[in-house]
Amino acid sequence: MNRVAIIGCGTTKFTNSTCDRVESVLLRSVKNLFDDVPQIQRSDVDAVIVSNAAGGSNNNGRGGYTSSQDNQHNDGSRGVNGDHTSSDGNSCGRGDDDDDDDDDGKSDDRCSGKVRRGSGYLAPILSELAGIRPKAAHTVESLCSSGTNAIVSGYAYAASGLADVILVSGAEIKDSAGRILWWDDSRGQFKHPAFWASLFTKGYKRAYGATDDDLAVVPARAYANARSNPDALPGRQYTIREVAESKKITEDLRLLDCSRSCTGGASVLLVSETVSRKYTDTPIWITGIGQKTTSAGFTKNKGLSSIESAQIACRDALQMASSNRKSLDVGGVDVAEIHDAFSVCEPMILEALGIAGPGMGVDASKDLYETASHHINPRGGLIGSGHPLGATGTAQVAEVVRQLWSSAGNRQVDGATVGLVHNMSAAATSSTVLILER
Amino acid sequence: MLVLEFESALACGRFMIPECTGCLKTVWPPSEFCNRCLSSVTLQRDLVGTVKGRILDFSARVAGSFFCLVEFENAVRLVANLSSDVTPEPGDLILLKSCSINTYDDSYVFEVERLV
Repeated sequence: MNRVAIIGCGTTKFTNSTCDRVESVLLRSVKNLFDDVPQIQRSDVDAVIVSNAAGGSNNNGRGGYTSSQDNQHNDGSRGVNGDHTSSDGNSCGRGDDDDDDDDDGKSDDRCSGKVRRGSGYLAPILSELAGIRPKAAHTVESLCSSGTNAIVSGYAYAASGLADVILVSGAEIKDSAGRILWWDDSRGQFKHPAFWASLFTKGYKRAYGATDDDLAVVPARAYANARSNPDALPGRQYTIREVAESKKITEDLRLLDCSRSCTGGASVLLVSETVSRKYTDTPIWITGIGQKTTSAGFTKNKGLSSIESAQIACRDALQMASSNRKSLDVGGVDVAEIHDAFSVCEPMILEALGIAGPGMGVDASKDLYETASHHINPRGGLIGSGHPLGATGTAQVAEVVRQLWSSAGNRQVDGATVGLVHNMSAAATSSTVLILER
Repeated sequence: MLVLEFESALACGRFMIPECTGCLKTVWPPSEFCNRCLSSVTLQRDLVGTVKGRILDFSARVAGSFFCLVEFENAVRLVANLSSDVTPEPGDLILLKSCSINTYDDSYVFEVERLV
C-alpha cells in the first residue's frame, strides 16, 4: 500500500452569504490551493472528490426551509420551539447578534425570496470549472464529517494506486439541507442539532457535576483563537460571563455555545508516495485513519456523557499510526482540530480522545482557556471560526497541515510535528480521526 | 410499505410497535426488515397509553415545556414533549400520551405524561 501525503491546501473566508453558489465556493478554494502550490499542474490531477453535506442539493428536503430569509444556525434557530411554527426566523441566529462588531456578521439577504436550484454532480462540475479532466470524480456526503470522509476516499485512491494526485474539495452554503437529519424520526419534532446538544449538555453536567460556567470557557477560548484566523467568520472575543449570559436557546444551551452554520470552502491535495518527491520536500503524511459509525439515530447513542464513536476512531487511528513506527499515543500529538459543534463537545471529545480522563474534560478545557492555548483548535474550532458543514473537515485538515508546515502565523504551535483531526456527524453517531505527521 | 403503514397509524394517534416476524425483536425506528435477522417486520400492539416507559434525561425549552429522551421496553427510544409543572427526573415513569405527524414538516410528534 502506498503512503499518502498532503502537499497543498486552499481555503476561503467563511461568510454568512446565502446567495453564493456551492460550485463557486468550491472553485475559489481550489484556485487558492493552486495559487499556493504552483508546481502542481492541474493536468496532473487524476481524481477529484467533492465533500458537501447537502449531497449537492440546495433543496432542504422534507419539511425543510427553502427561504434564504431563515437565518438558521446550529442553535436550532426557529425550529427550537419544536413545532416549526415560529415566525421569527432570525430570533436566534448569530448573524443578528447586536454585539457583532462587523456588519459582515449579517446574513446576506440580497437573494431573499429566490429559491436556488440544487445541483448534484458537483465533482465533475468542479473539474470542468477548474480545467481538470480526471479519471474519477465523485461527491462524498456524510453530513458534518463529509470532509474527512472525502479525504479518506482520496487516501484510498492513492494508497491503492488507482490515482496518484487527488484533489479533495469541500464546500457548503450557509442554509444547507445538511444541517438537519430528517431521517431521524426517533428525535420526534426535536430534530435541530440544538436539541441533541441540549440533552448531551444536561447528561454531561449531570454525570460529572459540570456547570454552565465550566462550559463557557470553550466559546471564550474559541472566539479568542478565531481572532488570529483570517478565514474565520466575523466575530469578536467574548468573556466567560458574556457566554454564560448570552441568549438562552434551551435550559441547557446558550447562543454562544453553538457553532454557526456558514458558507465556506477548503481544499487539500493528496499524492501517493510514488510521486510526492516530484512536487515537494515537505509532505505531510497521513499516518493514521480511524472511523466509527455507531448508528445514524441520536437515540441509539449509548449514553449522553461520552462519545463512543470518537473513542473508537481515535484508538484505531493511533493504532494505525503506530504500525510503521514506534508507538504513538495521544500524548504525542502536538496540535489537534476537534469537532466542537457545541461547547459540551470539547470536553467530551477531549475525554474520548484520551487527552483527558472521564469527567476531566472540563478541567482540560479550563486549562486550555487559562493558558490561551492553541494546541486544540488553533483556528477557533467550529464555534469560533464557523461550521460550513462539507468544508469543516477539509478546513480542519488544512489547519493542521499548516501547523505542521509551521506556516500558521500567530496561531502557530511551536515545533508541531504530529497533528490530529477529529470530525463527527449527526449527534456524534459517527467520527473520523486522522493522524498527520511531518 | 411498512413505514407508510406505521405513519398512517401514527397520524391517527396510534403508535404501532414494529416487531420482527422472525426473532420478535422490536425494530425501531420502523423498517421493512429486522436489523438483527433481516426477517420481515409487522406492526403489533399500540404503545399509546399502554406501556410504561422511563425518562432517561431531559432538557427544557425556554418557554417551559420539557423535551425528554425516553425509553420503552428497552427497545423504543425517542425524544418526546412533556408538559408538566413539575421538573422531571431521570428514571421517572411515563406513558406515551399521544402521537401524531406534524403537517408542516412531516416530523413525528410524541407527547408523554409522568406517572405519579
